[in-house]
Amino acid sequence: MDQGLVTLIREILVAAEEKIPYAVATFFSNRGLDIVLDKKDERLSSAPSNMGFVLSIFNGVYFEEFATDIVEKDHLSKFCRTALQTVEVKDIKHVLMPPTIGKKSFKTVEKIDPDSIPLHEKIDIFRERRQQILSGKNVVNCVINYSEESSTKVFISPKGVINEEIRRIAHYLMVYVSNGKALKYDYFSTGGTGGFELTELPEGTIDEIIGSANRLLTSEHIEPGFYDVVGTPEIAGLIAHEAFGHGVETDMYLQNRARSRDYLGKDIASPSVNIIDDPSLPGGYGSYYIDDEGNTAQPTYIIKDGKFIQGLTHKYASAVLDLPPTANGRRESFSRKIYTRMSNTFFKSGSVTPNDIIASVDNGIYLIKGLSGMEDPKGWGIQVLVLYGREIKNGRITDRLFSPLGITGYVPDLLKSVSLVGNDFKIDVGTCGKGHKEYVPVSSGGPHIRTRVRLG
Amino acid sequence: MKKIADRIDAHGFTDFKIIEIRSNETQLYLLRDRIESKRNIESHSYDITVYADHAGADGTLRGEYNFEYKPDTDLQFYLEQAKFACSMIKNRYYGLIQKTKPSNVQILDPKLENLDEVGTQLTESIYQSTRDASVYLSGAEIYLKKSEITLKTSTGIELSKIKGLISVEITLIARRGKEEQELNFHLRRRSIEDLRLQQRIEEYKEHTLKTLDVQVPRSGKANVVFNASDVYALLHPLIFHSSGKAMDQGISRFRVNERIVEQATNDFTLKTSGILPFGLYTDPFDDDGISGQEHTIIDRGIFKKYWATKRYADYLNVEPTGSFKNLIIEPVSNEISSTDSYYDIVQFSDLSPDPITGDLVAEIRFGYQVKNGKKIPIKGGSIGCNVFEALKNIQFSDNHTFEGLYSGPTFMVLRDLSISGQ
Repeated sequence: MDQGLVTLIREILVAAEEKIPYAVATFFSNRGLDIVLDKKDERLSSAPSNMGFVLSIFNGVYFEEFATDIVEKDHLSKFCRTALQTVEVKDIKHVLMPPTIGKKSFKTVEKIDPDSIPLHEKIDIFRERRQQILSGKNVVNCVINYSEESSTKVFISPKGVINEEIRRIAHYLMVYVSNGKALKYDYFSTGGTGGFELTELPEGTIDEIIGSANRLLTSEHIEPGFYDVVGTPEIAGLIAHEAFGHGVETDMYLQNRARSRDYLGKDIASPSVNIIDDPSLPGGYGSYYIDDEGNTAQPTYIIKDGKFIQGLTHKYASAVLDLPPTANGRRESFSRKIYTRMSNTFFKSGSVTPNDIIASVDNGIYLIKGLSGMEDPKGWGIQVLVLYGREIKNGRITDRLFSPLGITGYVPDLLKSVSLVGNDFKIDVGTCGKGHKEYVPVSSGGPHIRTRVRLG
Repeated sequence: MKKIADRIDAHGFTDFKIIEIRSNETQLYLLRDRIESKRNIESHSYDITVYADHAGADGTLRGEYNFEYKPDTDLQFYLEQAKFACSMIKNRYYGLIQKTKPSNVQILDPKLENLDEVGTQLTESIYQSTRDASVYLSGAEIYLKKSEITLKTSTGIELSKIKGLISVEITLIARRGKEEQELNFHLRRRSIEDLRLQQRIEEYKEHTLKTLDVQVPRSGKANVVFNASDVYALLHPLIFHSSGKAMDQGISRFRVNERIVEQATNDFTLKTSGILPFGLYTDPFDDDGISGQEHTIIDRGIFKKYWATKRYADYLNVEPTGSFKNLIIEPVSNEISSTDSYYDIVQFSDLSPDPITGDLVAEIRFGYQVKNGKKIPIKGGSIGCNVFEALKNIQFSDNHTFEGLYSGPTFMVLRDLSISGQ
């Protein structure tokens, strides 16, 4: 970002500070690469630039925001001055104050800088993976997706300037198999904040997804009902995210849309449950150094030993509800508003090995791979779609496979049913919407967990 | 635009496609009885795809690269990157549209002339309709957008269009004593009239009140009513499998002139329409320059043609229809056999059938169990089926509606679906 432009914007904000105490500006930009390969075609594109600028002003009653992606100096200078003249602070007593930030700069730590790998080498790595997949049993097609994005954010307030540069890597493999009668698929995803090292696959990954996709050709539909289940870290993460992530985004409290508000400080889950949201988690796909309101990222204990400790906030929710601030104010892009959003949300690890958890189940289902989820903070319902699960009989995983599966239920019932928490830990790569929009990068995960849920 | 085209030409690309987008948007966020935020957004960008051909053993191969360009940024950097990228990609050749005649369709409501004014009117309308004590407004989001889009290709196409979009999301809460329950709904339309905002709010107020008395449905088999607002999502697996891309990649289950499902008790015709008045996907021309048209994809249960962008149309040697636009369903029969008991689902938490397998599991956010004419509100549990299997036993209402991106029967019934509940 042009430092002269940053200085100019800050000078404009400082000049207006007496009249408008809360006026902050943010530049966003993105650069990167998307590679998509399938059986027959290859596609290369630059990542969406998402370049834009937001001037955010609190007028004592509500936020007024002016956003543009025309970041030419003269245009932007006029744009800001006009906006600041338009806004009238209606209630100076209730005005918010911008964070005291000084001058800081952050950048993702990378083992292998993606820019140091020539494009043809990257493509060749993924072509080789494609070739390996296409030679697998019953494989009719595949999709290999690689995305690298370097997102720059410059947060400017009269109190200082913060610059952050986050590198996110996401890599997906999708395998389609057919036996002539049915078509099934399985996938693998990896990534996070970091460098090209995140595209390394654990040994045997490709054979494993081809094998599981083939096993899905003979999968069964489950008899609806309540089951003892063991969830992989991926499933545990989806439950944490949908059940007690969205449900404690406190902008929902402002609208009376979240039942968790009535349970602050109360026991809500079994004592073995600890759920954390941590934007400062090293390597997490949802990690950042500052949120979109200039607050420094730090972990929030949402549930500790089964007790609901604290929700997530953005500035407005924290101020109006008088709740402790957390660094969870995020926007999809310059063209969208800030909401309270999750970052990396996960169950904290316990002490039992995943094998011992599976061995503890006489009759149940091992839920393996997730698809999606949907929140219902007011009704405190939960929906998690699972691609497949395997039967557990007498503490052992059998060959019976069920697909797809839907977890539904009442959040407190589900969390109180968590009886064992594993000593492993893994987080995934994902995007999260608020309802059906406002997508931001997140991760979720944790250890294996045992609980009881309704499956359909 | 011409300057950009000249600079692309100077880099020696075989072809190019430039889509210029200028837009203005007003956003209003209501938090109960007050405004939480007002936003104004201006945007100007170019979506550019460049192509460079290579000689291959079996003919011409096509390299391509797509990028977004913002005015006053470094176009030279992108073009050099594109040149390098194109040299590494050797896809099967496909051409660009040579000439086109845009369709004369309605995509901009003249009332969107002043976005701020419309925002104020919609805000007042929402407040007026939600002054009850029993059901109150929890929050609302109003998005009003006007975009001017110009397409220019190396084949001589240069076309412009202006389109509008109105999006309103409303959350209502019903209260009885200390107990509260909510329902949230989202409307996207191109015309303000098609929003039927006050009517929708009244309908949802009634549903929201009933959420205070919900029961969890019982497990078993049941007939399920899917309403017009859910039809597009429900039939997405059909749209996916009828695409030229799915056919080209060997994963389509449909073959031309064959039935889409065997032993169906009722057939229907499925069309893609780019000309439905004020349809969300109505388009005088699309990103390839293909004019808005209507195409019959499934004719009375028989699969007739793949919908295909220019790329996949060339690969399959079929007529390019453009991407799938608005969905039109025309049933052969509108008879609903009398049934004593069924579930009428007002809202699913997330209705997303797997487009590839057709498998569907969806939580019931709110609906009714209708038994001997009596309606019992329900919430929770889920509905499960395979959409392709379920289509064997489908029935349609005889009244017709338009829902933004769908035109057809007001509801459809899928019989004997699996319910996971109490």
